[in-house]
Order: sequence, then C-alpha cells, then structure tokens
Amino acid sequence: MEKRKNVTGEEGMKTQAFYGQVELDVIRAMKRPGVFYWIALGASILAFGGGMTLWGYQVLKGMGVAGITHPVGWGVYITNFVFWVGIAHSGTLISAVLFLFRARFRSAFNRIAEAMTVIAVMTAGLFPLIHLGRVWRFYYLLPYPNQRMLWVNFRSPLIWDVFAVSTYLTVSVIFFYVGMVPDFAAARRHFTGIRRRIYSILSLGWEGTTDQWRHYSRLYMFLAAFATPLVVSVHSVVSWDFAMSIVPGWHSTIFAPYFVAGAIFSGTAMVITLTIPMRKVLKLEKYITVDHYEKIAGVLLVTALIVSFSYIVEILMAAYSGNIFEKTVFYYRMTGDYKYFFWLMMFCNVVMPLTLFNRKLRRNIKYLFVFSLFVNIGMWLERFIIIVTSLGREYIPYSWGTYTPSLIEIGITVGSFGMFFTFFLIFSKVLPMLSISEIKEQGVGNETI
Amino acid sequence: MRRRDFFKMMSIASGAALTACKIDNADRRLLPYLVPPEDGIIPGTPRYITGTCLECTASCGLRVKIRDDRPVKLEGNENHPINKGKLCMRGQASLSRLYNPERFTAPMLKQKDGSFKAIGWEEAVKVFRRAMDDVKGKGLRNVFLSGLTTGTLDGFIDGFCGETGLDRLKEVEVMDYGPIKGASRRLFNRSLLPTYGIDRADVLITVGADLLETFLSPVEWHAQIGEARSKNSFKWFHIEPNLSLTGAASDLRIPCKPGSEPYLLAFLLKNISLCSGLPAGILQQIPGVTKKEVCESTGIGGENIEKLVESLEKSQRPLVISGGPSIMGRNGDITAIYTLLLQWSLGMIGRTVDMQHGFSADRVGTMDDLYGLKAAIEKNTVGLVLFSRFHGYDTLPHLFSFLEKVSFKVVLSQVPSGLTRQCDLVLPLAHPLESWGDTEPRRGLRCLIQPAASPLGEAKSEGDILSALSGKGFSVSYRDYMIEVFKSGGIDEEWVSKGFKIDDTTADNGAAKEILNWEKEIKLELPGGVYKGETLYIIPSIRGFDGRSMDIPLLREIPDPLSSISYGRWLTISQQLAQRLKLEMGDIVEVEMAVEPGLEKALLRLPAYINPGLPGGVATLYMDCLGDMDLSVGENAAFSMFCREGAVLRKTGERERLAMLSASQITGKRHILPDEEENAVNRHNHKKGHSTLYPEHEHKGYRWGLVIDLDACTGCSACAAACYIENNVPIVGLKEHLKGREMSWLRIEGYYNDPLKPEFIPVMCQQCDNAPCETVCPVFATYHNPEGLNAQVYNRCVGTRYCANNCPYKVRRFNWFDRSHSLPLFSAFNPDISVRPRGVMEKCMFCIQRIRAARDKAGDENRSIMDGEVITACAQTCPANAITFGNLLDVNSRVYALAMSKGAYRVLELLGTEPAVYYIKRKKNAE
Repeated sequence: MEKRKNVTGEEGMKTQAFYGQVELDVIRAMKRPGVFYWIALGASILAFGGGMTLWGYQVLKGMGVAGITHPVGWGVYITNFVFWVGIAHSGTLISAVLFLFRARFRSAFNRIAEAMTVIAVMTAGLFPLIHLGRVWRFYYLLPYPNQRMLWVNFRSPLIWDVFAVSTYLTVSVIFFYVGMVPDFAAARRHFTGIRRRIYSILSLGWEGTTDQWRHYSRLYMFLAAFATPLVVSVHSVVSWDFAMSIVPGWHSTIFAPYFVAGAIFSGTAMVITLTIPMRKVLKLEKYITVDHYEKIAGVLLVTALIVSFSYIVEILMAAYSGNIFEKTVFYYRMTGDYKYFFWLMMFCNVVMPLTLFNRKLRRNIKYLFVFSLFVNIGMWLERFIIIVTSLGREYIPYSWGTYTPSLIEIGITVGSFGMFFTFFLIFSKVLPMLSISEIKEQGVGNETI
Repeated sequence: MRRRDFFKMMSIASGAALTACKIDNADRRLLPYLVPPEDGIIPGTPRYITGTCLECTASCGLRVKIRDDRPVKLEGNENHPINKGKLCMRGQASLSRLYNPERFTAPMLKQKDGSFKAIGWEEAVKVFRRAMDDVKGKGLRNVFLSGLTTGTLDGFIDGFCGETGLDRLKEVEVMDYGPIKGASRRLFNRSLLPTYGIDRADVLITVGADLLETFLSPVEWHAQIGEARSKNSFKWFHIEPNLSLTGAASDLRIPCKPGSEPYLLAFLLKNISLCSGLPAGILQQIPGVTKKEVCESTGIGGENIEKLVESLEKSQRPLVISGGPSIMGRNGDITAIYTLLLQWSLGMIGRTVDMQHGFSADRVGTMDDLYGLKAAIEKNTVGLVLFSRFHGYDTLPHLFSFLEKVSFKVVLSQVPSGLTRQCDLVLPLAHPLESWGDTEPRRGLRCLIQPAASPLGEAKSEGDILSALSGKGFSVSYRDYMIEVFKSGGIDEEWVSKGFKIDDTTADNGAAKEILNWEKEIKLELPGGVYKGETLYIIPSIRGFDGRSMDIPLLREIPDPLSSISYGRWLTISQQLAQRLKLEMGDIVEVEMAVEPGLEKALLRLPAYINPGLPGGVATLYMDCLGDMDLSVGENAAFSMFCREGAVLRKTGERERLAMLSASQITGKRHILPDEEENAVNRHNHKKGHSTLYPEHEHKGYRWGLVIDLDACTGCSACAAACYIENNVPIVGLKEHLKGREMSWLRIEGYYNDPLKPEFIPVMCQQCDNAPCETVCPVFATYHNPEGLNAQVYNRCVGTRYCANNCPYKVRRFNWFDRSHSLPLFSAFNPDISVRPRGVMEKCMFCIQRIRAARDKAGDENRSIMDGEVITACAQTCPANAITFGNLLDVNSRVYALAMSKGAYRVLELLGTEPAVYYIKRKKNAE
C-alpha cells in the first residue's frame, strides 16, 4: 500500500473535513430522488416491461415473429448479447486490472463500472435465452445429472459461453460486493430505519479495525487478481462462438484479441456515457474530474487502435487469401446490403477515435459524451455486421440471404436498454456510487493521481 | 358442519361435476385395431395397392401406400410400362386432393341469392332431370363437355349421352397437340398422336418438344432417355426458341429464333440423302434453302447445322420430335408437317415413332370446335351443359367466359373452383383413389383405377354419378359395368395386382401401313419469315401443366426449377431484353400483345424474372401464371393464342418482390459444380485429406451414402416432392418464402454458369463425417449415429440455430412457427415420422424411417440389410434414375461403385467435412 499522508495539525483538520465531505456528498447522492430521476426510472421500467411482453409474445407464437431467417439464423439478439457482454467488460478492467496496475484514476469510476458490469452481464445473459427456439427447455443447456440421461456437449462454444458468462457474473458480483463493504458501513451511519438495518447487515459488521482493513485489502487484491484473467477469457469465449465455426468471416484466429479489445473499447465508452450525465445530476463533479476523463479517453484511444488494426487485418487476410468465400463476405460487407452500416461503423470505430490524439478533445467533456455515444453505436453495428453479413453470404450462393430485424426484435432490444437503465437507476439510489473509502484513501487534492 | 355432512356434500358436488363433464370429439379418437379387420392388414404396417395417376393424361401407374386405411403416399408402380416405378412431382402431389378440406361432400344446388345449399342425391337427380326436360321442351340442345376421356368411361359416356339425350361435344384440352395430329391427318388421313421409342433411337433431335416437362408423357421420356444414354452412342440435340429443362438436359442445346424451325427442317429434308425417298411431288414442293439462309433465319451456327446433318446421315435409328413452343404460332403447323416428313423418309415410323400405339386423343377437339360451341351458346341454342373433368374455365377463364351465358350448368367436381361457382348444380366427385375405373392412355394399354379409400361423404365416382343421372340410381355400380365390359376375366386378380394390362387388340394396326397420302393442295412452302419483334410464348409448366395443378399447395411450394421462383406470377425475359429495357428482377413489365383488328389490346402486367439462358427476343410465361389475364383472342386467332409475335414490352417503374428462392444463379469457382481446374485437385481423392481433432467415427456395418448423377439429373424436382411427402415437411406459403424460410429438406439448385445450358444440382443434407453442425450443438440434439447419419433428435433440440449457421450446405431448416395440421390434412401425414414442433431444427436423414423398417426386417431374418433393399424417397421416385442410395461400407454395393467411379466428387470437398453424398459429373457442360 502507498505511504499514508501525515494527517496532523492544520493539514489534518483539512483532511478530516475532506473525509466528512466525501461521505456526505456520496451519501447525499443516495437520497431524495428528483423528478428527473422518477421520469427516467418510469421510462426505463416501461421499456423493460414492454420488451418482456414482446418476448412473451414471441414465446407464444414462435421464433418466426423475429426477423431472423434462413440462412441468417442469428440476428439482433446475438448482436445484443455480444454488445452487452462487451459493455460488461470495462467493469472488471477498470476495477481489477487498473487496481493491479495502481492506476489510481480508477477510483472515480470503479464502482459505477462494476455496477455496470453486473447489470450488463444480467442483461446479456437474457439474450441467449430470448433467442432459443424452445426457451422452456433452456435447462437442457445446464450440465447436471438428470433423468434424461443426457449431458451437454462440451465441444460446443455455446456451452463454453454458459460457463464463461456465469463465472463472470459470479466473480463480478462478489468483487462488486466486497468492494462495497466499507462503504456500507459508512452508509449505515447516515440512514435510519429499514435502510440502516439493511446496510448494517450488508456491511458484515465492519468496524474499520486494522485487522479488518488488512483482510479486506488482501481479499480485494486477491479478487482483483482472480478477475483479471476473466477480462480476457470471457470475451475470448464469446468470440469463439464465431471463430470456432466454419462460417467465412467468422472463422478467424484474430477474433479473441479483437473481441476483447472491442469489448473494452465499448465498455469504456459506456462508462463515459453513463458518468457524464450522472456526475452532473448527482453533483459529483469534484470527484470525477476532467483529468479522470482524459485518462479514460486514453484507454479508448488505445483500444480503438487495436480494433482498427483488427479490421485492417481481417480485410487484408481476405484479400490476399485467395479464398473466394472470405473475399465474398468482405466484399459484401463493404458494398452489399449493409454497406451503410459498415461505413458508419468504420467512421465510429476507426476515424473518430483518431481525434483523441488531440489533448484538448480528450479533455472536452461534451465532446467525449457525444463521442462515447458514437462508439456505442459503432460497436453495436460491428457485432451486427459480423453476424449478419457472414451468415448472409456463406458457401452456397443459392442460400445467400438478407436479414431485416422485425419490430419484435427492435422492441426487445429497446427493452434490454430499459432493463439496464432500470437496474442502473435503482443502483444509483440504493448503493454508494463512488468508493468512499478509496477516495478518502487518496486524500484531499489527490484525486487525479 | 359435521364430517359426515361434509362427505355427503362432497359426493353430491363431485357427482354433479362429473355429469357436467362431456368428452368432446369422443368419436374422433383413433383406436388401434385390436383385432385386425382383414387378413393381411397389420396395424402400423403399410400395404400397397396399384392405381393410375390422373393428374395429367399420361396415366402413370401408381403404387399407393396405405397406412391404417388411409393413402399416405403415391409412388410409381415399378412394373408399369409407362413410368417404371417413377412419378413426377405433380403425380405425387396429387394425393393432397384427397385430403383437401374444401371438398364437396354432398350435391350442391345454387340458390337464388347465389349461395349453395347441400341437397341429397335424389333431389339432385330430380333437379337435373327437370332441367333436362325444360331444355328439351324449349327445343334446345343439352351438351356434355369434358376433358380427355379414355378407357371404359369413354364408351360409358357415349351410352349415357345416348340415353339422356345429351350431345357429347369434342373434348377440351388446352394442350391439344393440334399441329402434330393435323400433320398426321394431312399426310396419312388419320389424326394420330404417336408414341415414341427414344430408348430405341441412337440420335434424338427434339425441336421445341419439352419432353421432360409436359410433353405427352414426361416420366416415360425420362426413363427412355436414361435407357438410351446407357448406350454410349446416343446423341441428343435439342433445338428450341426458349429455354427448357429439356434443353438443359440434352447433349447439345441449340437455341433458334422463334418461328424459324421450318427453315432448319426444310434444309434437313433437302440435304439428307435418305430424304430423297420422298415422293417427287413433295420433294419439289419443299423449298430449297441454302445453309447461309438457314443460319441467318434461325440464328443457328453453321457448324451445328452440319452436326445435325451428319448425325442424321450416320444414324441407324434416328428420332425427330417436334412440339412445345416450336409447334405454337403460325409456323407451328408446317414445323409439324416437316417433322412428320422427316420421320417418314428416315424410316422412323414403325421403329422409333409408334403410330400403332398412339396416344388416345381422338376425341380431343381443336379451337375451332370450341368456337362452334361459343357460337351456339351465343345464338342461344344450348340449354344445359354438363361439365366433367373440364379444366379450361379455371385455367383460361377469359377464353371460356362465354360458358357463363348457358342457362343451366351442372358440374362434377371435387372442390369449389371458378367453374363450380358459375354452375347451378354441383355434383360431388370422388377422388380417383376412391373410385373404380380405368384409362387407356394409348392404344393397347389398360390402366386400372381402384379405390384405396371409401369416398368422402356423398361423393361418387363419375361413372356412378352419370349412371344415377340417367335414372338408374346407385344400384348398379360402375364397377359392375366394367366387369361386364371386360367379360372375359372381368377385373381379374392379375389386373388388380399389376395395375395395368396389355391388350393389343385395340392397337391401330392400320396406322403404320398407311401410305403417304399426298395431295397436291397441301402447301409445303416455307412460311413468310420468322416471328417478328418480341415473341411471347405462353407455355405449360412442369409444376402446374396448363394451370390445372396449381391448386395443389405443394406444387406452389416447390419452386420452378429454372427460375427457382415458388409462389406468384412472373414473366421470364432474356438478359438482352432486360438490358435494353433497363429492367431488374421484379420490375413490373407491361406486355402489349398484338391482336386482330377490332379487338381490344391485350395487356399483361407481370414482374420480370431475368433468365440468363433465355435467347434474346423471347419472353415466356407459364400457363399457370396466367390467372384471369385476358389473352384477347378472336375466333381466327387460334394459331397464335399461346405464341404472340410482335409483343411490345414496357417498363412500368413498379416493382414486386419475386419469391425467388435462389439468391444467385451463378456459382463462380465455389467447388459446388466441378470445373476443369478442380478436376485435378479434388476429384478421386476421397481418402481423408484433413486431420481432425476428434477421433474418427466408427461405423458399424453401415455407412449410408447417396450418389447423384448430375449428368442424368434434369432438375424435374420430383425428388423434392417425394421428400416433402415422405417426411411431412411443412408447406409454409408465400409470406415465409419471401423471408427465405422455406422448409425443403431437398432442393434443386439451378446454376447458369454457362448461360446456354443451366446445370441442376439436388442438395440435401450431406451427412458429413466431420459434420460442422454436430460439434456446435450444445445439447447433442444432432449427433453422428453409428450408421453415419447426422441424426437430429427433435425433442432434444432447444433451437439455438447454431447448427444451421454452421452448416456449409445450408440444408437445416428451423421451425419458425407451429405447422401442425388439423384433420383432414393431418391424415395425409406419414405416420412413420413425427411432425416437428415449433422452435426445433429439422433436416434430411436419408429417410431414416425407411432404414429403420429395413433394419427391423433384416433383424427378424437375422441378416444385414441387402443392397437396394432400402431406398430413400428421392431415389425411389427420381424419373431420371439419377439418385442411388446404399451402404458405402459394402464394397459390392452399387453406391460404392458409383462413389468411387470416375467423375465422382463431393460438394465443397475443400472444407474437409467428408460428406456421404457424392455427385457424378463426367460430361463437360458444353460440348
């Protein structure tokens, strides 16, 4: 651990005041939701409920109500799955990886990023279920001894997905919770009634003793180390859903690193999208500062360059491979039915990130907000294009096809955003949004270290 | 409440509840036979009877598969001289007429408000007789109008018409082969429609005749061509102004300008030495044309003309047949006459052209007969018309609209149609599978129609209905009449079991001996040039024939093989025309057809399908796409009804999405069809070329495989129909087809890599050894079974669709919706295979139910399955015999020999999937 500052005298008084202020600011954010909050929550719940209703309709009528077809058997649902898993990525990255690297700017984002992770994984986890033809038989996918005398097929990347995503969710939840224990103890002091009781239970009897801090630090470090490989593994496994197949445009060794970089890119962008309005609404500007944003924009820039490199590699590989099937897919991506999506994706993920070389733009909060929205769109389109154009131009020309999402699919997609924001808004009012203990630890005036 | 009271109350309440219960549809439950009703019927085991297909006039022999008293599949009768165990897609699909939920179950009488009311037979007969008497009282004619009638029914109808005083008119068939019969009448004084012995020929030249699609007896020609091809010397040239499956299947397809056929034939008549045997009078009349003139007028290259002359000169047993679009239009008659002269002078008659056993078409009238009727109706001399098997009104409603003016119309029909809605009395006709009868498709062959099920409701066979109408009631059945006709032996055991009998007494022995009856006044000069402008041919289609079969849902579901379009109507145009008019697929085109002066202009509006193989200057339209379009023909326009020269095509700017199932009709070098470069690399290399992570599959005793001979395959799509019916594949309709969600397990892909000759390749599940679908299924719903099949376990499937994504052949089909049927359509399902629920993937499994049955049988007899003992539905019905099924582990099997033979390859072999489906392509595409 880093050397503690001397907290005596006038300096000490200042620090004490700072500690109190941090606590008050963060706890204040957990109280008294305003009108804007209720409107946002209402809209989110409405979208969420609407999406679930549409899913119910799909279960009742059959998968045919979605636009997916033959040969494009996966569409918006799997796009959303990959998108949300990607969003979920930055949580672990910011919390665990940056923690291990002692990148202290993470303190401003880590709680929000972790919450985002947990909620995004839950949202993502819904989509494999939504896209099942017989969702009422989903338990066939779980390996447990059963009277059917059947076991799952461990050769299938979909089973790897089941494990990867559920492991990721479990570890993320534990990591999220452990990090919050000292903050629950702090929150306990500021509430009365039922909330106080709940925070008391959640704080697991935290007293802030040296022993507790020592155990806590060890555990946190251990969990961070444990979660770090998951950053790589989860999205690698998700990418293998594609890479392990025989489909031209999917079957590529570059997919794992390419998807991991893409996931971090999109997840980080989502953190920016969420925190910029939030810090304003919850008045947390002094804890999440422009310096923090500049740093995180750096992460965006690096991952964008990796993603761009992957795009170029993919296209060049197809071009010089002499493989007619690969060539067809990439030619189709660039010139076919989805060409506008492709070029929009290129603009969002390749051209726009180059502007981040400019320090002024990296420090421009408004620009970053708009930028992050474009990255979200671009990354969603990336997954859509990979899935749809590859399936649409496979080996047999007779069976080429196109895909247009149906209203049901669009509705369920909107519903997934509704679900995400519903949980996120609830989180923002019931759990501390910033890590009180870590900000305190960094001390006054050291926010940007 | 005391305990006892409680029980009392409970018992009363539950008793009341029980009495309120009612078992719905109790009488509909299916109960298994505990005691077999007849000897030889074992529950769950199919039994087979013979029958005759009446979907077209060829009269193919049927083998009707009956399960628990329900016909579930129509197959070809193996011993039948016409189809030899094969059946086309229309024949197979005709079973669905039996289970059509719209079928009439009682006579229907039209009420004053236009609705129909069910009445009893007695009343129906009374109404009919009263109407007859009314008409007679007015001094008008009563007439009987039907399609082609053969067999004993022909004589029976004569008797019936005599008794009741109906005039029997000439029969109406849209495809009347008038020019062929006309040529025969002019030259031999006999209106004959000969049969052909393609199997006996060594050179076959077909001029327009669409042998493999609709020409007279397509299944028979398929078999004969296969036979002829087994002799290596056989050469087949096909000359046509359009593009047909026949042209694609021939050895050399020679496109010609529309209407130019007589120039070529005249040149042949003048330049083949044997033709000098023609009477001098005729030879003089035939105009001389130089080769250059022929080349110019027909558009055929000089080298091809030489090839034709040379082949005919060298040939021992040549055969020339003209038909199809070549005998349509104003030059059609002369084409048919020249063809007959060639046949006569080259000695084909009696050798490859059989006049003695000609097709029964004596009663079929021409357009002139029809115009006679029209005039009579317009003059109001016809009072009552009795229709039977009359398709004209439904296929060409505008042409037959004059029939609406008849005051009293009676029709024998199975289902409601445009005609029945016009009629005053509808009599429910039984399906051929519910009736006794026979046909005589050609002289000397009697095919038996026998019931496989009892008639639906009050429906009766045609003979029985006519007998009742003549006042005899139903006491004497038509079967009794038949027994009386065939006095010696009646309907004997042999006929019933074989389904046909050869009866040479009816052969027209005089026909071949006829000497050429030459009359000076027959004009033999060349017509005044080829057709001008764009020529629109309206031709019968392989799916709907003249339109009569298009009410069978399966025939709309299976796409037209040339265009791969399933539902809807379209106009086929050439690439040349598309370029000129700047048209794209689906652009709506307006066709203005030339008409006689005084008539309104005929306009057709149809979306365009651009066919790369169609010659320029030609557009084709299938008769089954006509619908209620008005062809606007006057009474003198008979010759040009289906061949409209000088048509003007215009782009309208509107668009319609075509239900075209093929996304691209060009393969490029995709290892689907072999090209020369691939030969060296991929062929004859069926050893494992790729290493795999997983242990190799051990196949115990069997590794089922399929070999498809692409040189033989004609694209006729009979296999697709067989697959649909055998495997209960759902029919999903236009909306789903537009989304690309057709369910076919087996499809015919047509590719125009060489626009001159499209190639067809049937694609079904390839049952790969290293199947990409198997590894990705998370729940083992698809797995490699010990016999090498990619088995799909439907009730284990959760519907991730990953397998379909990962299938390079794209042969897996997902059930997007629930497609189970209610009665009566449910009865048509094959009980040996389940109907898949929604959310489940399905696919071809080499008719696993048939393999299973064969294995059970072999197991009972303690042996293994023999080669040829089990055969898939597609292989069984393939008219070209292109598909062979068997065990690849048995080195003595036919399938093994073919799979290892020269020219065998597998689709996408480079992927290392090791499929069990082999294709053979020995011939180069264009010679």
